[in-house]
Amino acid sequence: MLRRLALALLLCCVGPVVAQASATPVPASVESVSAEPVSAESVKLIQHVTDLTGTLTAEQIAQLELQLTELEKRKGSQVAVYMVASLGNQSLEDYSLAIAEKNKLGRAKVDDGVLLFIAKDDRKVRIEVGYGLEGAIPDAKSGRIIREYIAPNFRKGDYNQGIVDAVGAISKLIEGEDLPAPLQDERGQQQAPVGLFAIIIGFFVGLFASATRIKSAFLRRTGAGLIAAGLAFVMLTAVSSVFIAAFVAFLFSSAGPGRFSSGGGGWGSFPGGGSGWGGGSSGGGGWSGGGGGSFGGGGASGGW
Amino acid sequence: MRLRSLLLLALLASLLSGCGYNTIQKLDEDVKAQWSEVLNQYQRRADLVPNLVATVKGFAAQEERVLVEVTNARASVGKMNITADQASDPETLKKFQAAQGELSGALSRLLVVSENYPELKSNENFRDLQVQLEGTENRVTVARNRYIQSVQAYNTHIRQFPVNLTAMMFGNKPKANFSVENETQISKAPTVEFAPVTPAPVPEK
Repeated sequence: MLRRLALALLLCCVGPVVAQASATPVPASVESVSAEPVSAESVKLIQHVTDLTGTLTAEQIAQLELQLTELEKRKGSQVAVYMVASLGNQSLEDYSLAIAEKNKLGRAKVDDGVLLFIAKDDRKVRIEVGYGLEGAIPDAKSGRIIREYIAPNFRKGDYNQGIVDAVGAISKLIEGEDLPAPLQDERGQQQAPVGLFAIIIGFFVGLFASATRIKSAFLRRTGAGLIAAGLAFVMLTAVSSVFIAAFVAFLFSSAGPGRFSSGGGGWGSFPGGGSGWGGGSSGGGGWSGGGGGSFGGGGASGGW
Repeated sequence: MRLRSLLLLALLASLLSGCGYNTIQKLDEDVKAQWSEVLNQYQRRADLVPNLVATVKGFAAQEERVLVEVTNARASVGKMNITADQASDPETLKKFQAAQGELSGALSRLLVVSENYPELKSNENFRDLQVQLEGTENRVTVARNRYIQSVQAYNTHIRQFPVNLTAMMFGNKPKANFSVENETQISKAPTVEFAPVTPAPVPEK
């Protein structure tokens, strides 16, 4: 019995590497198998308010954006508004859940995202509520917001007022909820290891460069800086880390055969190639993409 | 000697993970978690029923048949709390699904009946309950969908080549999955009848 067991084990495990490499990978995450239609899946929100129908004016959008950014700063919750003309052949619930899930509104673990989804020509609206806010915004409350704030205004054709009222009501409910402090601090902490990695990358590239036999200090230092910058960009993808790595590599590559021979490769000749990179990621109006919240179909649907 | 057996053990353990044993455990746990969520949402729906029945009764006590039907379906659902392990058995899952389906049917009949009572329909409490019920049905759909996907991932994994031997050795069988509730009904093409409708009375001016 034991021998057969061992044999079976051996049989299945001697060539497993080959077999597993050829086998199709098991879908590890549930999302990857989901049969959602492509159109909703590919939607990527770039700010809080998305109006694909051109109903809202630029000022109205800016006003809402300001309000929602403010809320996100204060409470950490992400509330997004998404307005399309038509649902196509998808159901309201599928569409809005797909967008909310795909963009991962709300913070990870806290799951405090809300999506106000409006299909204008279908006259349908849905408030999609993340797991973490199902207590603060129960379905009945979402239903009332739709019935009492959205539907009357939309019926009159005043879309902006309806959205503003609804967003105000949702914000008020979120304000009343005791949520963990906003993300700012956590993001600051996340930056630290990236910087550290950048320094390490720069250090090793610099050491390596200083060990090479390149005579010209300028060439060696510039090369090291560029290589470290490239490595940091590929590995860390943060703009700041590119500079840190390049700088550290530049400093450490000074040791070596050409160390004392030339002072030409001083600070002033730091390659200017990287100057175009700055100001990329951290600017903008407060929308930094979804934070990793998840949804379970909470919320309410309605029409007008 | 001791060292050698230790090494052998370590080798064996690493081989096991190469056989997909760890992934089987991971996917199995995932299925269990998703099943808990399914139960959780069905429970939520069951919890709404007494409130709903009480509210409807206040306005439409004469609809006794429908109300009793809902109450009975709710009672039979309450007896069907099955664990994730039991749910992997096709027969048990079928029974569970039948019981939940009965409650779904009874609830939708209740909502249809309630259409006839304008006072009930305009009652805030009833409207809230209706929204809650809709929301819960939607959550059930989402939870079921995720369960179906996790079972699919599990079944696919344990039926592929090197892993199927590991699964056989440890007795991991494919799990049953949810199916459509009214299979026989759907497989028949619906018949549409245009009964002669009495023309709606023209509003007099």
